[in-house]
Amino acid sequence: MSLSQDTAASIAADIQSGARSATEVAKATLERVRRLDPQVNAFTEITESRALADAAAVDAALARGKPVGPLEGVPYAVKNLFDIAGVTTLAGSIIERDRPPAAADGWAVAKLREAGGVCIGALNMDEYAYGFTTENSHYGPARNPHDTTRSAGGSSGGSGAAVAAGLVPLALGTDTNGSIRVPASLNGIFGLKPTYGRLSRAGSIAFVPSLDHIGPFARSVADLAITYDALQGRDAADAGQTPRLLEPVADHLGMDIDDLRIGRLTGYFDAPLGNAARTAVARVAEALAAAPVAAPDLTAAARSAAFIITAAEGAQQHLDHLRHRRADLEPLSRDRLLAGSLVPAQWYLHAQKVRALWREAMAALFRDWDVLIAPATAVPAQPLGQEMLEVDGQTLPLRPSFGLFTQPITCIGLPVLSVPVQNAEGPLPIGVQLIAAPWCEDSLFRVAATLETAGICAAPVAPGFVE
Amino acid sequence: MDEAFDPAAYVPAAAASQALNLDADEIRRVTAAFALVMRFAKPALDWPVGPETDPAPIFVP
Repeated sequence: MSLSQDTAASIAADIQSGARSATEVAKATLERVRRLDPQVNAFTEITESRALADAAAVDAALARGKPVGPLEGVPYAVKNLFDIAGVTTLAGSIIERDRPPAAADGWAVAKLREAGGVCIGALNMDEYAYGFTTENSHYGPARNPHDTTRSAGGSSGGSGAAVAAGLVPLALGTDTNGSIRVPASLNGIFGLKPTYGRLSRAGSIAFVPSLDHIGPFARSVADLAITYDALQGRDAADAGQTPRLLEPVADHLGMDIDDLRIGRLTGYFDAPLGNAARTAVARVAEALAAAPVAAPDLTAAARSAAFIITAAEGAQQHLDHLRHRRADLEPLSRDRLLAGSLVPAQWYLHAQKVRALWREAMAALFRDWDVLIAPATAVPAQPLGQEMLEVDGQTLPLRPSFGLFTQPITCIGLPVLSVPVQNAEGPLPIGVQLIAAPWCEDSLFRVAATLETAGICAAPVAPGFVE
Repeated sequence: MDEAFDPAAYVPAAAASQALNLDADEIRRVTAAFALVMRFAKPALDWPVGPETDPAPIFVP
């Protein structure tokens, strides 16, 4: 198997055994990224000198007989809102280009380095994470490796495309309303949005602080677990982080799931769905013998509350930009940000009350269920530039509609693992959400590993990028 | 949602209060964007909440 299809775990094992050096892996990865990235436009910066330095440090440590960590020599890349020391953090904008390079790695980047990871570069995204399609007017669109005329999703579209194209085995993204789960779905890979407050966001540019999460993408459940475990830890620099003991999941993957009560959310989550999404959910539900579970009546209101909170908090983050530099803002989001800056406080507080009711309703559901299944997106990847979506007899504005099934879940910070289903209908992959109660990521990983072992879910490198 | 709420009246007034200095074309575009916000906000704003429900601005899952 070529490097492009190797898992992070197998690369680390090879490096630890001496079969390959971290420097060899880094050089081969950099060569592949340079050659193939123009097809998908996933990278906005290739950090060659950083990558070679990280790799040399791993090789030197191993030469001294010192194990480095679970990601020894594994290449990864991060959405360009994470600080990488020496690189200007763009968050998909041209406004941020005026800022000096980051003085230090953000928390997540530092943790991956501590685990032995080798940072290859920064990845494309919707400006300030406000979008679901990574149609970035400043840096160009991220393209889907399964069909480069289509969107890679967003806002972590570069992260999804880089992993699905086999440019790197791992990537980091962020998720406010679905920005990990939507690209995971459209690119056919695994993506984790942990519980709100689990992972530190320090050293990343915020979008909506009360909804922002960070998380990893990978092509195997084991790789996702190793990365998630490496990212855990207390960080006083993120006021939104909840103090928790480390709760690693990698050792849970072989456990059976007989003790888990698994349901499939119905009602709100039944429509509108395209055939691919419907088939994917049915396949996963059948494999897990999931029982139908009625979604609470206020699910649509919860999604709507997430929309209001996003509009208001997101706009507040950029009020100075809206006043003084709005010509430099992404045209696709500028008017939305301006509108968000005008949301009445009464609406925002009403949305927060709905959020509290929704949290109570879902907590009641999780007294009877451990893992709930729902579609991640209504449809697979759509053509770049498309404005409207025809699905299930409805015509919807395409970009916001990608958050239809992800937004209610992020609204209350539940952990979600998006699992990929290949060939549900046609050649494009699509994802399914596995949702658990707060702090129960271990259950999600056990279920995802079971689905992967059973062959229901898989994340091969996109066919056009296999070498 | 209050049916009498008029985005065409609200947007220019609120934008001025925020010192956004929008020109006429921007007012037109932002009013359209605000109408979309209203559409998406309606299910939440129509959901009844009372004074007994505490909002959750500091969110713990």
